[in-house]
Amino acid sequence: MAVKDRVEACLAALRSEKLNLLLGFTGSIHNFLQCEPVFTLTGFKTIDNCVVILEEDGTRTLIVTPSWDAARADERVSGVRVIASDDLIKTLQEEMKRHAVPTKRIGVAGLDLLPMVVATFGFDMLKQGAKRVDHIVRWTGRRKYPDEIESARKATAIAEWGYEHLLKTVRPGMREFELSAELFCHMKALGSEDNFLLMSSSVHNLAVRPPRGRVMVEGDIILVELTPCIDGQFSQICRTAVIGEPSQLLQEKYKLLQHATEIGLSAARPGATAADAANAMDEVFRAAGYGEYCRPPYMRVRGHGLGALSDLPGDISVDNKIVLETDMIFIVHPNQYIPETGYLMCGEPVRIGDAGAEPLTRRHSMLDVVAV
Amino acid sequence: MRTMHPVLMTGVNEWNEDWLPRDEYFERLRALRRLMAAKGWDGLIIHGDCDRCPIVTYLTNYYPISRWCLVFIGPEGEPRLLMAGGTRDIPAAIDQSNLAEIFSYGNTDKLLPEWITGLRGRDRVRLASYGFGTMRPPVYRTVASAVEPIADLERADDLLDVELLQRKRPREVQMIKMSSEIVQRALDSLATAFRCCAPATEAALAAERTARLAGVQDVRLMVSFDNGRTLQPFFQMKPARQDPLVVYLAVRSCGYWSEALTTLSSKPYGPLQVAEAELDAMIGKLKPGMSGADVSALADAAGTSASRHPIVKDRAGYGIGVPLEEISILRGETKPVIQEGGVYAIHAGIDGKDGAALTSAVVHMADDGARVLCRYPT
Repeated sequence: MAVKDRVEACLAALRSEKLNLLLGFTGSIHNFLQCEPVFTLTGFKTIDNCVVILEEDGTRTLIVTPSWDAARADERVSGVRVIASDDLIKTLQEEMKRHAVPTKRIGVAGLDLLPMVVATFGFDMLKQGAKRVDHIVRWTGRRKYPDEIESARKATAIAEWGYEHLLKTVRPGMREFELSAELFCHMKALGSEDNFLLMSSSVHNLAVRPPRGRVMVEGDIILVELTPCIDGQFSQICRTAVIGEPSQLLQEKYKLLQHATEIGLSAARPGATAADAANAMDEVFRAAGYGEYCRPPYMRVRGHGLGALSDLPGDISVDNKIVLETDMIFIVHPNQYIPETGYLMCGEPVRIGDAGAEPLTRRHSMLDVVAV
Repeated sequence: MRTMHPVLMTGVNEWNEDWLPRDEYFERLRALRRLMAAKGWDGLIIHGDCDRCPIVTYLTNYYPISRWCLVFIGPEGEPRLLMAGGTRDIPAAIDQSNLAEIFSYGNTDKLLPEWITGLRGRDRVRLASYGFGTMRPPVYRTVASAVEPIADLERADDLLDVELLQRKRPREVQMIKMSSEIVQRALDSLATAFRCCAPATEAALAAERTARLAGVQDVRLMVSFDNGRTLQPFFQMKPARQDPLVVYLAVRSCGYWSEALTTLSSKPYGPLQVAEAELDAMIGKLKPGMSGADVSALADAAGTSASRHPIVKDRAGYGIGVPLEEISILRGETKPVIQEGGVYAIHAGIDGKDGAALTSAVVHMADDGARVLCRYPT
């Protein structure tokens, strides 16, 4: 349903730019901070370099590499002609002979997702007059359809169950990677097809990082970023837990992050910009005397989009003037390095509703305690 | 084998200095510098990303868990590594590598010209490049604009792949053996779940869990839901049991991959017997100097008339080590590809009227034959 509507939206945009054909490329690397044209226009998640050809009458052709993966494409996409290939550009060149479209009427998207050796073909087309239309594909994915919002809800539920599992499983003496392995597999068993999972611990974290062989003991602060994926839609929660009783200082500083989250959620509403939300959260830290720390390396951004359809609204940062719209999905996370306690994490995924940000989580972040 | 690339490599990636000590990396860098001197290169620029990063990992143990990195190698001194990511991620990256210092990619437009100028002052320098073909265009534009005005660039990919990666050092073979042991343990978990009549996805997840609890860096899994005819990445748990169960599992530990294609069946299964016979024929007579056509001919000589599985139709396998796929063993290729000292994943598979099956072995090519490092069932 969503794919068909997106295709229609793309076609309308292409017509307004007087373009008759779109070549949408995607490579092998997936990242929820990017827009993937093949996924947006077909619903197919690529294993290797692929291209979708969208004609002005809505006909779609998908060229899949490696060739043996074409069977999966046939199974998963509907209304799309699938061609198996082991040489994407050679097959695309042959296909292009069928289309009598002048190069100046061709739009190209996704070149920056390809390795240079493949992208060169597209850049040559741009030199001959084709137009880059990444903005069109990215824009059509900015607001999610009901089934995508439902996927985000499911992914959020998996993240929360995963975190509950972490709290039940962690114990002093456990290595970070053991906990991470249990967490990852638990969420996969719940249906997560992918997961941007970071989990680390320290008495004073500088940032969150991948897990190591480090043994966790009483006093360690565990940081975790869980980002499961359902049908290509990611959702993310950011959480902080401590093994043993947290100090008064830690509790006090964590309340700052919780307050910043609530302020960020209030500021994120239709018509406001991503920068408005970021500034509102920064102000909480400035008021507490941490203005100097509202920049890298002490924090990165105050949230971000959750692709792979589209990363919009983009980073929730003070320089992002993208206007928030209903049915955008992103995370609000005022994760912050505090000199007295180290890096702490706190964040909720939201859908922008008519009245403002609606968190997708059942339970907002708290400073959780693992009893010893 | 190509698999669905995860959004992040979430496994353990600390430098294991016990198994890959500093002196090992020193020797690798020395060998590279001898090569550079012989070719008259003043320096080498290496690109790697989370999908493919062999030479960077070979020299520094580092690989990007997402995005990319650049490494500059001069005639002396420590390699200079630039990672894409924030400065706050640098301490974790240093722990992953054998380097004392790592820089942020964000400063490439300043650091790269500085490094190049430092090589030979104002003279135009001769540089070699590796991995530029896999660079994403924005990275390529940044690097090209820094390099082109002040240096001549020569592509070194083929040379470095052959000279550094193909013939494995003893320690590399050891690391692949260790990864192989983890693959086999993980597949034991798969087999146990299979025998207990677990659904295919549950059995596959049992294998993945075993591998992750062994502290690996990355796990790749593909499962068949149509009796071996196709392999699919994981998308959701499915209730159906598969018998035969065909699975591909690859594991990276301490920078080195091992893998296995396996077919489990609760009763004697003709296609598997045929595939195993072909695999036995290939690895039993594998010799240095063979081409892909030679290796394929060994399978043909096993005397079956069954049709080859699509996954193995064009190639009989590939080299394996730091990258999951090194040089391909293409069935139609007559140029020698099997080297003494190389490690290869050899694949066999059938897809015929009686069903489909896939099997494989990772072998180390010694002068007197191939030694099996990983095969399941053993």
